[in-house]
Parts: sequence; structure tokens; C-alpha cells
Amino acid sequence: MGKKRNRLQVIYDILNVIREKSGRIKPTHILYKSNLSYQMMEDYLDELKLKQFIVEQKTKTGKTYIITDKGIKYIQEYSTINNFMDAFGLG
Amino acid sequence: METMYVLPNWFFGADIVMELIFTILTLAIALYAFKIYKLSEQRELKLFGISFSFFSLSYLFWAINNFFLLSVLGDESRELSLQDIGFYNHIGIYLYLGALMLGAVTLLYTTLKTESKRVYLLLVILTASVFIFSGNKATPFYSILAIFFLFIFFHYFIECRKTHNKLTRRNTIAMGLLFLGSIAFIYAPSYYVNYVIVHVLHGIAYALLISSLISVINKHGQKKK
Repeated sequence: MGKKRNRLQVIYDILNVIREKSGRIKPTHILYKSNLSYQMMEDYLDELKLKQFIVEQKTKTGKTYIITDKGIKYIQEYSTINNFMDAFGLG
Repeated sequence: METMYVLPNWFFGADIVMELIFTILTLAIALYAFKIYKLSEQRELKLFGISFSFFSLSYLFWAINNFFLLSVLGDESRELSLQDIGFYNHIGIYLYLGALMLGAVTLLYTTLKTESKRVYLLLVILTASVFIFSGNKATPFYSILAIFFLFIFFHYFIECRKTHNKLTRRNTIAMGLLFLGSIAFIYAPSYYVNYVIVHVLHGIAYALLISSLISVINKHGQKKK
């Protein structure tokens, strides 16, 4: 069993799953790939929408989530964010 | 007695330079925290940035107060006494103490990992009340500050044991030194050597914090290359 993921890691994993699917994904895929409960995934997606890391788009077949430039920047800078938060006891 | 602290004459000038350096170092930490906050939108980073901005302001006010408000006590020492300065000059001291208190409260609140704004308000009101209603301002204020830094130090100590991160260890030592600095300050109205000790402890603490920050920035730079 791996180490418990922290919030930053979970956010990174969700955003990375979306990016790997060409930046657009259905919630069922996120649920499958991110290894979270449905409720937790919903909470994280709400937070990511609020922080403008992703946008929600409603289509005929249901909802899809699209990663924003801000979300991509988060993925790129993840290790720096993580290093800073760990070093300064904020993780 | 309303003496905030006494300092040796030979240290006058060096203390102000050190306080101005601390202003710049704490501001650098605050600005980098805000930069990382902008990328991640993590609330803790915003609070951390705010707390170090307050620390930076408090050092600036401290330096200004020391430049203008100290009274000479003879050949050996000077003091900052609330009795010897005019009413309007008290504002400078309250600004320094207020910024220092808000910095410590905000940092403590960040480490408590609570989202309740009432906890923050309670900490601010309690600390301010002790300061406002106590006859001797310095001792109760610095005692509370020492308790805050003790809690902050314990938070870092727990984080350090959890993460086994070299930089967290360095910052834990820094917070321990800031705690010891607050203890030393409690006796600064009576012993002038304590004033020097506080500056030395703060100097080492901020050197450690800034070296951690530089390590984080360097790692970031290496990754980009």
C-alpha cells in the first residue's frame, strides 16, 4: 500500500488524468482513474471549478471537464508547490 | 515601569540594520508564498504569506521606532520607554506590536489547520486584550508571543517527523529559535544582553528560513533547465 496522498497530490492526479485525455474527460473516467470515492471526487471537482483549474461543459451525453491554462500551470509547477509547502510545514 | 526593552549603546545602529535586513528577508518569504499561492490557490499559502507580511511590517516599524524613540540611559545603555515618549509616538510602538501580534496569530492559525474565522478572531481579541488591559505591556505581550511560537514550533516538529524532509527540519530549528527569541524578549526590559540575544537568534532563524527558500527556488530552477 502506498503512502496516503495529500490534497496537493490528489489535485495533481485529477488534473493529470484530464490532461492525458487530451484535456477533456467525463466524470466516470476521473472516478475510475483518480481512485477516489464518488463524493470525494465531486468535492474535489467543485473545488477545482471554483479555483478555475477546470471548466465544466454540459453536452447531450452528460458532463465533461476541460482543463484550463491555470490547471496546466499547476501540473507544471506541482513539484515547486509541493516542495515549498513541505518545507514550510504547510502540507 | 513601562520599559519595553533596554539595549547596550554599542549595539545601537547594528540593531536597526539587522531589523531592516529582517524586513527584507520576511518580505521575500511572504512574496514567494503569494507567488506559489497564485499557482495553487491553497489557502494555507495565502495565510502564510499574510503572516510573513505582518512580520516584515513589524520589523520595519521596530527599526523606525529604534531610530527615533530610544532614550539614552547613560554611557552603557538606551531604552524604549512608553513614559519617555510623547502620546503620538506610542502609535509607532502599537503599530510594531500590532503587526508582530498579527503575524504570530496568523502563523499560529495557519498551523492549526482550521477554517473557522472565529478561532482567528478569538486569538486576536485575547492577545489584544492582554496587551490593552495589562499595566506592564512588554512582559505579558512577549509571554503570549512565546506561547504562540511554542505551538508553532511543535507543529513544525510534528511535520518534520512526518515528512523527514531536510528543509522542514531546518525550518523547525528556525521556529525553535524564534520561540527562544520570544523567551529572551520577556526579560529584555531588565537585561540589555537579552536584546542582543534576540537579534542573534532571529538572525540565525531567518538565515535558515531564507536558505530553505533558496533551496526550493534552486530546485525549481534545475527542473526548468
